[in-house]
Amino acid sequence: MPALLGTLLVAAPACGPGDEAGETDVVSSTAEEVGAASSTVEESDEAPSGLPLVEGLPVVDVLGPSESGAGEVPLFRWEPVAGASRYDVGVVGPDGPLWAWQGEANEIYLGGLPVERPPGLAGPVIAAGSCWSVVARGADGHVIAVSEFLPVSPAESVGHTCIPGSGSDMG
Amino acid sequence: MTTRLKRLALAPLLFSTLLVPTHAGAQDGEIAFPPIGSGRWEGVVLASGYLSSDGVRRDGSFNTSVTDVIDDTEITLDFVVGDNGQVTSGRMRVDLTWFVESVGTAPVTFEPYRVVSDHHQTGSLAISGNAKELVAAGTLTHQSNTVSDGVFVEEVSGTRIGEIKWGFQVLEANCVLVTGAPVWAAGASVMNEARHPPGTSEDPPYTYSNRLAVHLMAWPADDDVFEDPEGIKEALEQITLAADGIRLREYPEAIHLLELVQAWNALKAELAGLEECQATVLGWVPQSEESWLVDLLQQGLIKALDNPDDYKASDFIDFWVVGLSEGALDNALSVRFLNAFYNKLDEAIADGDTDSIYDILSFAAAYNFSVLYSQAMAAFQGASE
Repeated sequence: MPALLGTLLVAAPACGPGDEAGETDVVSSTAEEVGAASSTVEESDEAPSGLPLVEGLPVVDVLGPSESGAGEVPLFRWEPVAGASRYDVGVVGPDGPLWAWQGEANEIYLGGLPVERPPGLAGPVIAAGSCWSVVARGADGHVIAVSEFLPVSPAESVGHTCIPGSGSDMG
Repeated sequence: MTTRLKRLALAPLLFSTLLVPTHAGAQDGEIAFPPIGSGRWEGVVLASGYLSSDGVRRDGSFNTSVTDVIDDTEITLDFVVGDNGQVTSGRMRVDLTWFVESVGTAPVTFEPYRVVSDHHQTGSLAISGNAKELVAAGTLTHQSNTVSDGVFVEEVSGTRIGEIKWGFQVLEANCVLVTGAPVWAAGASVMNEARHPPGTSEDPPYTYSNRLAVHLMAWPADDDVFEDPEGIKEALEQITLAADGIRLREYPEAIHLLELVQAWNALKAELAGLEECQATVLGWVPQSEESWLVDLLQQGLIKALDNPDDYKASDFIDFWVVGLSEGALDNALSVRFLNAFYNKLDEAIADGDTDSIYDILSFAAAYNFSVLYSQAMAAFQGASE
């Protein structure tokens, strides 16, 4: 299999295919610039849903955030998985991979703080049309369960669907 | 290259400064210590990494040199900010140790040589300035010891007193964090070299690589500012330990990078608890490269990518996650990661390693890498048949 990543493609829609080796700079802003992360947004009680990240693997049940109205610094939550030693959260924005986290907790705010980000503190923010997932991994580091690939937007839903690996290939 | 030099060539060098404000004045458009008012601060200057140069002289003789700050360096500071935002008094206590090791051949004679100079600067500098620039100035005692093999070297061992002046630009100053880095330096010290630009000189054609980093960190010294002042100090200690843990390892593990990120986030969480800061955010200037952290993480990631045979696919996922979490994955590193995953997928297919195929497939799906995803999916389906 060739190691073929010398050419970059234009950015793909957030939850269409990712552009391999596309720009991965974290979008930074401040809560002051974007407004308080969760102070003005009412999150729905409806459990989020989407397509399986990988068919056939055990499922991580996600508790939040909802697809719309997640706020710009959402709190990602999921049910603990038996046998999991750690979890990986991955967030893909309109321009490619946006942010990731790894830890033992089963909830984390975007940016990695265990508490709501205070105004003035820089960090990544969710853009409309983003997708996220959580992967549970065992003590040996291998994947044991995956969530669905879930749409998330800071305010109103943009009606996007997150489809793993559905986009165009790179040249 | 000696064993010591080999180790050094892999050790990132880092000097870092972080300030955490208590009280200070703010003016529109200027970096300032928020919130308004005077206050006492304390902090540290983290120093790490190395600077190297390699070159061949016109006559064919050569020199390779490495400058490295070593582990027991300790620079602490405390200062008082007045109502006008100016530092009214303060001291920086310096215990700075570094060495310079050069190997090469002498001009004309081509006699091989190896020279090692150990340096130790100690003393206390006065701090002045404001939230745009902090200045540490005064005299330091400079002890040096030089040993050489092969050629005569002018004796430079001994103790002397030297005038020192270092300027730190504050890069970020908000209610919970102020960071800074050295922007100028006067007087003999490794701090001067920290600012040497990487690149190649024309005559002679020497190549300079600078992984020397300096970062300043400080926080309010008044106990009543923090609910848990010990928590702040503990978080800083964890950051320092984690940083040392990375740069001292020739082959890092993702867990070491993750420890640093977790320690950094623990500090931010502690600082985020400053309620009085949340009420007043003044003079915030976006900086946020967090260059100290990003630089250190990138060095760890590069080490891992340079040695792919030492890691499994799941290890590379760990590295990726840590890098992406703090914005340390630039385009070049992303390309290298994806190439590494392609190679690991090939290995997994050849070895019938279905666990690794699952890992790579999940990774490609989570980050929407379509080509890697389709190839991993094909391998996944092949393995399932």
